[in-house]
Amino acid sequence: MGILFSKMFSSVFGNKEARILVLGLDNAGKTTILYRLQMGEVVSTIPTIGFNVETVQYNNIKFQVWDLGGQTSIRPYWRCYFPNTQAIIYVVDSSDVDRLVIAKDEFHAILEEEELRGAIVLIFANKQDLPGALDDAAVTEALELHKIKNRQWAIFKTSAIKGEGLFEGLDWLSNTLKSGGG
Amino acid sequence: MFSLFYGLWKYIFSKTEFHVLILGIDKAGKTTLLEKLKSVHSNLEGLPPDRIIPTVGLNIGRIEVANSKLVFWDLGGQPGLRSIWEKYYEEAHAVIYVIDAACPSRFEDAKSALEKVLRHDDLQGAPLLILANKQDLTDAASAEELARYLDLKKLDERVYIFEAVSAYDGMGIKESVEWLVEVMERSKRTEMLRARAGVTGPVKRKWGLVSTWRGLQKFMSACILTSSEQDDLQLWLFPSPMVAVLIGKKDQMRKKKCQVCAEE
Repeated sequence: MGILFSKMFSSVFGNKEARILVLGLDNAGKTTILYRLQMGEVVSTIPTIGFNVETVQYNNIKFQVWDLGGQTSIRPYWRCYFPNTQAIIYVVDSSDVDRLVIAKDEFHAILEEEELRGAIVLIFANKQDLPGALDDAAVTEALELHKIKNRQWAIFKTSAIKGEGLFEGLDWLSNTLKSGGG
Repeated sequence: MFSLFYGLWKYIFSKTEFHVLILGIDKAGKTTLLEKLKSVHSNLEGLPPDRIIPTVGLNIGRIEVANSKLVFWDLGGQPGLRSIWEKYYEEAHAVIYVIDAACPSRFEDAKSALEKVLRHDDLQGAPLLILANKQDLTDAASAEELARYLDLKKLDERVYIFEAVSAYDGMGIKESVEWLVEVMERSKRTEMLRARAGVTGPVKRKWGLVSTWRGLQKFMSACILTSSEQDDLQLWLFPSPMVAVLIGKKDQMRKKKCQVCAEE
């Protein structure tokens, strides 16, 4: 009986859960974004070895957000977290123009993964507060996002430090996941 | 063995898939149209119009009409994002161009963007459906008025039509899609894209293909690639070296994948 009520409750108030991976090169701002989303404040971070995981409740969706370390040596372990993922947030340091090529290669390698075939993709062109940061159109070009043809994607200009753009991104995620995704 | 028959069944009865681009300047109603298309033609409930935010990227909608699968690519229309439109042209079977008919001040912008689309070589011969959207608003221009205003040149070698629709209440959408499917099915561009994809001839001729040895080979490799479990029976039934190589490759791939996780 209790289960029935809780089921009814959740169907009325629509609490969905989604598993989200936050990926990107080292120093892109993944951990800062995660805690900005979760606590609404900027925390001082150290390079992540391993992962951070937090739940973020937004728009009736419970996002289970996994932030994985981005250093070259630990990138191969990303794939261990791929199963059952509904969405990927790919974070790019828009001011780090030199490494955009690497960011692009890593990104397209992720998209090739069979286990992530149904996942939708959200790109954060992060660090917009820094001078010389590329805008969303330029990052789109640099990451060759146009090659994605079988899944939904969106790009947002963000600044994790100022808290800009992050929740617009989550809005898109929740809307897209609700309307069936992929 | 089941997967083998499933593969055969899928191979023969697979529906043709059409890619349709939805283009137009920002605020034209492209995403609203996409969501309406989804709710009209599939069981999926589309997003209500008031929840739609400006697209910065790609939205996808998949629907089935008659005997065809349609995949809609809805791209963002803001000036900075229009540069990526052309990257999708090559694989598109047709284009839907959406115009906000209730906003005459932006007709000029819409016109120049459309002319640029039509000039592109990669879209040669692609059928064009121009939608005078937002007919639910009282001051919306009709399809004829819009056609007169746009005054498009060089359209004669391309199949096109102007339609008055409302993505908000769904007026005219079903008819437009029906027209699109019909035109795409017999367009030269569809044939060209199909030839490029490596399938010879239209769907009906596939029966003949199966009977030839090359066709059988091709079909079997398709079966093995689609089957999720390796079936020893397949190897026994078809001791062709090519098949063995394929199965071996698949195993290798799987092993490689597990390696990294095992290390941890």
